[in-house]
Amino acid sequence: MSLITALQAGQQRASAASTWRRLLAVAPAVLILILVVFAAFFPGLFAEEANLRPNPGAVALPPSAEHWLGTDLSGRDIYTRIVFGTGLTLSVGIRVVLVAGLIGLVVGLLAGLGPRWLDAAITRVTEVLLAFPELLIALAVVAILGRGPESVVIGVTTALLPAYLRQGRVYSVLARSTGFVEAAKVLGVPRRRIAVRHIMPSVARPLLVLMILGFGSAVTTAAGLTFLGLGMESGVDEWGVMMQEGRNRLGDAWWITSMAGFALLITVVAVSWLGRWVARTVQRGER
Amino acid sequence: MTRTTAQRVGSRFLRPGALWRALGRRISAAALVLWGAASLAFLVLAAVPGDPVDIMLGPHSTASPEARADIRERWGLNLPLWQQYLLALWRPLTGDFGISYQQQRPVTAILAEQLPHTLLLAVVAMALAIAIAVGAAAFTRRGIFRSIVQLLEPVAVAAPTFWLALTLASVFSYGLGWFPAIGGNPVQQLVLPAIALAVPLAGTLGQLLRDGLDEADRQPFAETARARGLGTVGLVWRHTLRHAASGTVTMAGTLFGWLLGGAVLVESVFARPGLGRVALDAIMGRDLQVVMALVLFAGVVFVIITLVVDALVAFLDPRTRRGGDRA
Amino acid sequence: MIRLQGLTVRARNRVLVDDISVEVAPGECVALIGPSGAGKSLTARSILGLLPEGITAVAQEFTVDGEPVVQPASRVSEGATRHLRGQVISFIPQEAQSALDPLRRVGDEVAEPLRIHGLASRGEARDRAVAALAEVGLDEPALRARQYPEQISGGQRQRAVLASAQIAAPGYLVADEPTTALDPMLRADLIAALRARVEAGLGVLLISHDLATAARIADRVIVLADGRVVETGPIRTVLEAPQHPVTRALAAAATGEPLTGSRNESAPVVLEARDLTLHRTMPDGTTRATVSDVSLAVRAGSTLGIVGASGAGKSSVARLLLALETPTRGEVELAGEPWSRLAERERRGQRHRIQAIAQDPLAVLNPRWTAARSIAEGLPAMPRMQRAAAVDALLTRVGLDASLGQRRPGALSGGQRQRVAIARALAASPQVLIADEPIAALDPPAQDAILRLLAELRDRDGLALVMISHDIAALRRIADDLLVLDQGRVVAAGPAEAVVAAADPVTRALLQVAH
Repeated sequence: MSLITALQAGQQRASAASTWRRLLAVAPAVLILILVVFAAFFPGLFAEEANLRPNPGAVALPPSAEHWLGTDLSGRDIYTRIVFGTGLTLSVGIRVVLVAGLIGLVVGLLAGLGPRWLDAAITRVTEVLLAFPELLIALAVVAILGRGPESVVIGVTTALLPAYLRQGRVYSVLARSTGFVEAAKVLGVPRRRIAVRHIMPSVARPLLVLMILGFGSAVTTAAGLTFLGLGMESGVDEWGVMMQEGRNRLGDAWWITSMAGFALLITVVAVSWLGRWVARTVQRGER
Repeated sequence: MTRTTAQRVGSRFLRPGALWRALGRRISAAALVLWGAASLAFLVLAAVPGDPVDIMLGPHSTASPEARADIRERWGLNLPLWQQYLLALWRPLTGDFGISYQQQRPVTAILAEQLPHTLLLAVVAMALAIAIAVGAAAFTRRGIFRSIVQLLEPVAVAAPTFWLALTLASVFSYGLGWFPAIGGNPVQQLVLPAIALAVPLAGTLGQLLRDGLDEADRQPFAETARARGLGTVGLVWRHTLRHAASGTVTMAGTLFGWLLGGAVLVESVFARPGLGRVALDAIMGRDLQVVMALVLFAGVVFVIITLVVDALVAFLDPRTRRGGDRA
Repeated sequence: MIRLQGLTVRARNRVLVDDISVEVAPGECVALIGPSGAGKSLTARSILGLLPEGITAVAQEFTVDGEPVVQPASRVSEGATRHLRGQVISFIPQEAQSALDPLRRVGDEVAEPLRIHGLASRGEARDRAVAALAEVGLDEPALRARQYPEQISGGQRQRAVLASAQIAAPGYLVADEPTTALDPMLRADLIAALRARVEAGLGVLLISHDLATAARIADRVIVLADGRVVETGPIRTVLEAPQHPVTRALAAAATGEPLTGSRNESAPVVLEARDLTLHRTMPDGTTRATVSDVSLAVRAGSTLGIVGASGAGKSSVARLLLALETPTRGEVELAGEPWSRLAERERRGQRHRIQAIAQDPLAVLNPRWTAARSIAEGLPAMPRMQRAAAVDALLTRVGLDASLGQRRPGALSGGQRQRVAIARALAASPQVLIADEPIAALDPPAQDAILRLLAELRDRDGLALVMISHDIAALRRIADDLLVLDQGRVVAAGPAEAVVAAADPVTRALLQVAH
């Protein structure tokens, strides 16, 4: 291999310096996510629960020293609501990607390893489902099941599922046709061991990356549905709900909507940053 | 390579029979998707608990039993299920998508009325997104600008559309008053919603385009082209852009579906007329005929877009015109 | 004359090329030779200003035809050299057949240097491109110009690249390993074309790691190692009397003493195939016979070489022998017992007896598994301690240091990776080893080493070796018997020397181009 090719391909002989640089690139995202996770599990560390009580005398106040992010239409402190709403908002995302990812893995493996007709059938069904925009599928599910937080979760999961099904199948078929899988066959390795040792890791890994990247999308879509009024009721401490509450006051009390929106933005960007870093690292390992 | 092999390669290329066969394959695949969509819609509606007549009339109807029997008769709800299924497949082909109980008129009429608004918004947003993406990816191949753009892109992609719409409305509509929320000419009304939709699109397309350009740069022909004296921009315009374009165009087609979904949110924020409002009203009021019709309609749009995109890609990349496998 | 003095190339703080000087005069061919990683490509690309990002080149003096390209002792940048590229110094890359943009017509690619440097209008450029294609010997140049690269053969694409490199009548040409990845026919073609151009007055800088090829075109040679010049002089002198150890190693790899084993007629036949035929359905619906009536027999401890041009059906035969495909007709027997006839269920337990190595080890080794883990996959079931010891033993047997077992394929060199693949194949204790183009992707020193290893394994362990290649020269070194394939059929078979001597047309064609 010529020096040029080696340099251009970025050889794996990573020196200590470049490993540090790679970690540094993702550090801010990781930091943010650590804060967010802590806020989800231990909100008391960041804010006082007492401030969640409605306070008629402090309705719709702008951000100030006393109320960092202002107050909402019931006089509650927005910063506190955001902190205490972290867990609920994010749990939706986690549930969605876990279910979608698991189903995607199982169905993908079935399609890739099973008989050809099964693969063909799964592909056709997936193609049909993929014809519809995610949001519309979620909306349709919510329409059928009726409004409510559970409907939102089911709706978003259904909306994201087709993509995971397809990717599961794609990775599975890809793995099945690699040279080292065929080499294992030549070695006489039984089919089940090939599936477990070679194919499943090759499918699970990119699906995991997809789940990280999809988490942000799931939370966003769920928040969007809640914002439209299809999810949880007003008053619950959840970011989508808070954005919906402030909808009609964009002109004079914009902070009610915007602050929760910022929290959402920062979290989603951090997750997507981490997800892409993981994706690149995994890709590099494949070379 | 022997002469015979060369002839074989040459003759398989751009043979008219192969082109028609590929087209036929696409169309049959599209028909399959549509059939699947219609079947799905039927299954879902059939699975909803409750009397279909109630669903059609809505929960607040005060229709008499005779009127209900009449509706049942007209809509064939007394027929066996498989016959209803065939009817369900047939009706959309004749343009009959059912009646919206909320508005008491055919869904087709509603669609025809509201579709242009949403379509206009979607097309403008897509055009804007493509322009931004090409500019961002093609002109910032190296240096500090590339790093900046690469940093901004993921933010653009991850930003929730409705948050973007709300922020834009807050700042530019209510705050600075440049694009008033009510009134103003059609162009003014279009700007903010289009931007809100275009930004995540531009981020995604830009990333894809840049990856495509990077990938093309690594191909052997890129080095040879530069060895002929091409500079960075020249390389992009004359060579790599076309290579990266196919993947990007395909993605843009897929994202058009996303646009329809995003339009629902954006139209809600900016109180614009369009399919978004129709969808929301239908969901709130459980007007299932409308919802299903919209979903079906989205499927049709997707299928059409896919055909268009495939034609475009075939035009851009001669290699895909072959009747058989891809290069 | 190209005059480059004191070139130093750096990547961040590492010095890759240290104070090299190169001169190329019109009408002479200078070869830049050296093992992989010596800095040859970097030097060539520095002249063209085509270094990758992050790598900088500084030259003490760089002039072309008397004009300085950059200020003395300053950076050779892409911008400074742009006016040279394509019209004063042109370039042909390693795999010329892939060097054309598949999305543009051949004629446009050939005419590009004229358009870039404003030397001709669009119509004029088009006409001159057709003329250039005719000049390099393409039939129907006007038609070819309108076609896409995919529609013409590899050899024609190669000539088109050459046409594009000479259309602006540059005085110099830089050729980077132009013959390495070519099969013998194309290689001979290109060498002849280049030699003709040199004689017509072109100054050529030829990069290669193959001293033998260089000897056929070059007048002078500069030998590089580790970024420095270690020897230089007229080609004959350096070839015949190499001074520096590096040069000597390169010269040794260029020749190639035979590695055939002892023929043992009484050794049992371990692999036999009778009337193998394989039909394949093409994407357009027609059926083609990839393999027709191929029969062969291999004894323990001997080597069968299967040779033919690209597309002759060699790999298909290999897949049939390995029972990765079922023959349409015919049968394969392993040590006298049915092999191709068995159901996969029954066959799986016996698969360890016939193993394979492929051209690209990267494709057949799981990139996320360490070398040790991949090798262990071939071992039969055994306790963990024993397994680790067995892996180490295998690594040593293929000439690798045991510590390399912990590395992933991406962190190994091409030759090392191939050894790992061989070790894995050996782990199963096979009787037959099928090697499908095992050395095509390696540079000559590594090729030599792998051939020796294979020969040693055959002699020491009584392995039956079937080696498939388009390189008849390599096969002649190691094979006892030869099988020549053309379009899926056997055109010659028998002891290697007999086949070579009898020289039917196909074999003769293969021999001619193999120096």
